[in-house]
Amino acid sequence: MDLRRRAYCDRILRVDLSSGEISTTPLPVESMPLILGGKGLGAWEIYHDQSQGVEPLSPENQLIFHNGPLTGTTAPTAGRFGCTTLSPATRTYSDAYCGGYWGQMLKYAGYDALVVKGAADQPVMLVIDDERVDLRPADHLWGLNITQTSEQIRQEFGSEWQSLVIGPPGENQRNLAGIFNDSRALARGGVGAVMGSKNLKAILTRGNGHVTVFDPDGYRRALQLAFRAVRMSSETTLLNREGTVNILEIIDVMGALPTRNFQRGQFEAADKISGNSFREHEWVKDYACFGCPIACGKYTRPLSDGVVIEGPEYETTFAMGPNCAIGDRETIIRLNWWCDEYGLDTISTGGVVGLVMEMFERGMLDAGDLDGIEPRFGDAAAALALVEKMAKVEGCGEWLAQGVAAIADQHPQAQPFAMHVKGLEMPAYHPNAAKGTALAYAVSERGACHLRGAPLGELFSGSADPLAIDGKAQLFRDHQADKAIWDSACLCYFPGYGMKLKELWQLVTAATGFDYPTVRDFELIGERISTLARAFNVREGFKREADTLPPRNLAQPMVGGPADGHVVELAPMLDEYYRLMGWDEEGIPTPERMQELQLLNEDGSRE
Amino acid sequence: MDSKAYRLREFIDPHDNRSLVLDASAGLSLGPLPGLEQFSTAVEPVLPLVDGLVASPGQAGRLAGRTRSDAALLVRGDWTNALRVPDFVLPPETTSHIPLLNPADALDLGASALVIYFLLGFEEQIEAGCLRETVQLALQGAQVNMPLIVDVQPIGPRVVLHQKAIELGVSYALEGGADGVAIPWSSRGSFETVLAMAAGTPVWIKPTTLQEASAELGEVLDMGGTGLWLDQRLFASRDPVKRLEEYRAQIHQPEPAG
Amino acid sequence: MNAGLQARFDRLFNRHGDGRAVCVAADHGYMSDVTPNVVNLRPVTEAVIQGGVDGILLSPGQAMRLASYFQGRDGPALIVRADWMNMPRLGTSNVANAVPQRLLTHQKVVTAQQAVELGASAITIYLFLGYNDQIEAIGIEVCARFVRECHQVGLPCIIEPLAYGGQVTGANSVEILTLGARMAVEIGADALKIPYTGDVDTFRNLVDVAGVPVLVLGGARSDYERDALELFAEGLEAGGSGCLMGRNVTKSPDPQGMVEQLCGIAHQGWTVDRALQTEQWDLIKLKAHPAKCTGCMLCVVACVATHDDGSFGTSLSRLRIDPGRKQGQHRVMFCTLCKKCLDVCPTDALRWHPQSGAVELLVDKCTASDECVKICPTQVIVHSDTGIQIESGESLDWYPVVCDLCGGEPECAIICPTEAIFIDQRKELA
Repeated sequence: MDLRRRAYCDRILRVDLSSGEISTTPLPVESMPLILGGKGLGAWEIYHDQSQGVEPLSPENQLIFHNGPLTGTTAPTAGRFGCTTLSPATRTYSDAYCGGYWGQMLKYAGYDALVVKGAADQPVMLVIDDERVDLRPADHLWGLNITQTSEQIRQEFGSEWQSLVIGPPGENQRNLAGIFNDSRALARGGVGAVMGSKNLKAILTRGNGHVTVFDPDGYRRALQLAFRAVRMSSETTLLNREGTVNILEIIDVMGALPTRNFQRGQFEAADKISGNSFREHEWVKDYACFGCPIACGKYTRPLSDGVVIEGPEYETTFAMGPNCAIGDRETIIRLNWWCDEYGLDTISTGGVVGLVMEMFERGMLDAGDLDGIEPRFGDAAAALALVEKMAKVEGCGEWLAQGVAAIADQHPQAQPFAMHVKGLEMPAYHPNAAKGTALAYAVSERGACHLRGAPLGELFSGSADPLAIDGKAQLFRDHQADKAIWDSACLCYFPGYGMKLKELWQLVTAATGFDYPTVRDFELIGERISTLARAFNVREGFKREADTLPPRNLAQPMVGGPADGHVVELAPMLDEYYRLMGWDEEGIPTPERMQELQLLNEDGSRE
Repeated sequence: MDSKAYRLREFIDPHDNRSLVLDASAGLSLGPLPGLEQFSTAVEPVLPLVDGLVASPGQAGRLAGRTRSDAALLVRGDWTNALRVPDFVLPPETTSHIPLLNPADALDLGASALVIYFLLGFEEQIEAGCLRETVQLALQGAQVNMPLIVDVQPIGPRVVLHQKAIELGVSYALEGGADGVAIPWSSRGSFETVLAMAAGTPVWIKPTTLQEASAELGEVLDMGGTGLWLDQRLFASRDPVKRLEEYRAQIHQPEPAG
Repeated sequence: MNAGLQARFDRLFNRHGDGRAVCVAADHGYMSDVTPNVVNLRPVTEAVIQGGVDGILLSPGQAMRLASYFQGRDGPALIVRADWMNMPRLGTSNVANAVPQRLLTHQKVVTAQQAVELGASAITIYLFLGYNDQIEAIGIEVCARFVRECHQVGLPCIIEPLAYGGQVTGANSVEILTLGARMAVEIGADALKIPYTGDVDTFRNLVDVAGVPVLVLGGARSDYERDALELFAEGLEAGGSGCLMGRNVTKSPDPQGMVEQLCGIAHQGWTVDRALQTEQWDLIKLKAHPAKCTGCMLCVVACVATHDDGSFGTSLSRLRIDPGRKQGQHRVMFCTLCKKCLDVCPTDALRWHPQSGAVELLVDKCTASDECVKICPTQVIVHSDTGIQIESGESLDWYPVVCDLCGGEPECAIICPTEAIFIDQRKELA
């Protein structure tokens, strides 16, 4: 089977920064129909090639960048890519995805994935120029922020290159550090810290190759249907109009907009920071990632001192806004700017600021701990001061940029309201008001995540009663499998509001020629890959105990809004989820299930 | 002209297509109201000044001795606890909305129209019930030529955008077949949308406060709305008769001489 | 089928003797937020009637209010929405977010007798599958009761199965719709209104297992006129009997025109192209709306995939996105037919293509002088990645690759999602 005529490059680029060795290996041909690429390939590689118990910031930890079979074609959003690693923040399997313009470059350069292991003893940059790959000194870039680094690279190399860079948080191996391609990022789980621990400052890529699909006519037809489906969707129309912030109002109305570090689910100034509000007052131009017909990205008009961002996203708006009781668009934009400029995950950053505000108000921290800053809820200046410190990794910013879990470890009295799961800060949906999402936060393979199957439709598509727990395990399971396939084919979720798994199946079948007789056969890939990620975590020692939520969700009834009085009844949902997935009561995938999913052979050996 | 149009003209003056209506039916769910403790006595002086008086079925039955120059009778056809505030003697824990009359009953009471609430912002079943009632009473009303007026109440906790909720209420009422709607005043722009949807169906506004009523009424009449729909707060005010005379003069201005 | 039922059925489906009906759903205001198509119900209704619509779906109240529109033998058939649900008010479908609701609610609202008294030729009722068991049960009850009532008064009953709710996944939505279609027919539906499944094969299967006329609904509106027409044409190809389209028509800038197009496709066998009467210009050129470019590069990759071996990439694209000096300053750069390359070529190897008028390379005259590449103001002439042996026997290491306007249907303009690059008429070969 020639994978190069089936939309792949059939090449994994392997770089060992300790030895300086650069090589390529083919894809695991026999397994590709089972794992597809993207998330599947990343999970496969890390599960099979990394031993258990590796220290996340050590040279042994692999940082795997991956794209999918459709990457680089004209499928909607076919520039998306991801990375997989062991997270220093959660110590779990962790993957992150990014739009922007780097993913297709790796594919055109001729690689389906890039595996970086080891660590350089001096700052380096990896330069991938089709088959010419080498490491070059990056001392002159070390210490520069994202914009400065990207500018410098553009000047040295020219604008036809795309790069992934880290800023000071990544260089200082902070848990909140992300990896950035201009305004888009692999943000969560501390992937920037892993890159920084390897002394890898930037990855520059330029590619002139092409992608050949298996059945060009079938692919063309499938593209037509996919694009039409994407256009005939009120959700994609709304995304184009008001970006991801479009859902803020409905989430607030449902009582699920986390406010003041998740104390409440509704924010009094929600209308000031709604999608409509940003559209009316702040946004001036649309932005699209490579290959995207939706263009949910938005550029803001310059502020008085020239600050411009591409954003904010809904998550950022929550994290910097209601979570900190800040209802002022300009402040949110500035807080976003610090994160983008220096390379921080905005969700986690906002989570830290919210926690610190609550701790300060309760007297658990004082100004002395915070370099003289006195952060109360709603204090924009204090929030800006804190985030600036985190961005520059200065003073208290050094420990703040390690995240909510690390702060709570040092201050155990804050544990009851340290809003994270497994060490990843909680995203913009209040679990007490969205039970299916609560289950997803507790179980997701990389910690509290809304993008690994959380059935957000219970909140903004009316698909189920968000306050009920019945049926939520099944709902989560279905969405988790769905998301895992999208991440393996490597497309963004947003076309999925118009096209569905059927259209994706048609695209993948035509591109790869793999045999999935029905959509259901294709659907199996999703559960297989989620289970593989789970198996990795189990091997690292995670089980049921870690699938939990903070006391604020499990034991503290919500106050106000439609979810008034609700807590998250996690145990019954968890039991049901494990049962549906074929895992035992500890949440460990049984050998039978692993075999059924073709992750283990009959003799128990790995596939 | 059918008798439904005839009935509508009993409280919408056919000369200027305008109307002043006073809703005195809230006692049905709120009990004795300030200024309305003695219903007949309170209502007697205002009857000649308004075009239509909305009364509960019980009070309607007791309003005897009305003359031809007195207001037409409109009868309230449903009951709800949604108008009760948290410090009411029986604060509502769940919302209830109950139909009481059908158009045939309104005929028996000698009414010129049947008035029902459209409650927005409460539980899904409440909203569904209001819509179903509207459709059924409009259809039945068409059979016996009894007009149906819908009193739009965007007062529930789920209302997020007040103006748009009013527009939604009007839309639902018209889609249900209402022969007229009474809505809270919001803004010129929103009222324009409402009038466009109404396409000639009468629209009354319920003023925000009695103090603002004149100004709001002015805008409404200017844009082609039908008139004013007052409620029990009129009876609690200092000089109800004087107020009504002013509103009446504003609504039914005499023809300019010459 | 009794005589009354047949007569009403024919009024709807046999207006043109072909068993097909082009119907417009104007009941949106009954269940959804106030959007312009709701406010402008009357003008929209007049427009679609002018367009030749066969049937219009209205709420009971509007059926009373607009009764005069349905009079006369030429008038459209009236379809009454006999139940009510609040799906358009849930989540972000709730366009205005004025009064959001959380739980799906579905109820019967009028009787079949009342619908007949309104002058209906048919009623439509929902069947929700995939939300939960109670909603499904309510749907079954509503449908069953209506079918009985309808057949007693000789009124065709159109059931509208929808796959909606947490139990619907990407993998099972088509199966659920097909299940709904069959269940509706087993209950006794005389026709179906149902979403298109996305492709002809799965829809044909659905139509086959239904065995009654199937009207396709349009769903959310696309900005491309073509999409709804293509979807409709595919539905017919799969054996469907027409449409009951709402927003795609009522929110269109020209509802009358759109209905004329749908009627042309349904009743006169037009193709979608014929219906759209796409301008056939002799000569075309590419133009830009620079502010609309989002930088997505779909045009660039589409260009590459349309040429050479059909593989996908950005190298060898005949147009490019100039990134600008800062983020957000990107512009699409393409061949503007400025003629500079024709004029500068030392060997006259470039000319206007005789049919498309695009720049054409006469490779046998080429000397790879690079003059054309250097002079192109938009820098869209690129070096080929292979050499070539020309007529004289000489070998060129490379030759210039130029935009050929894809022979007259430029793929870049076709794929551009924002009309940042589009086609315009070219007056003459300058």
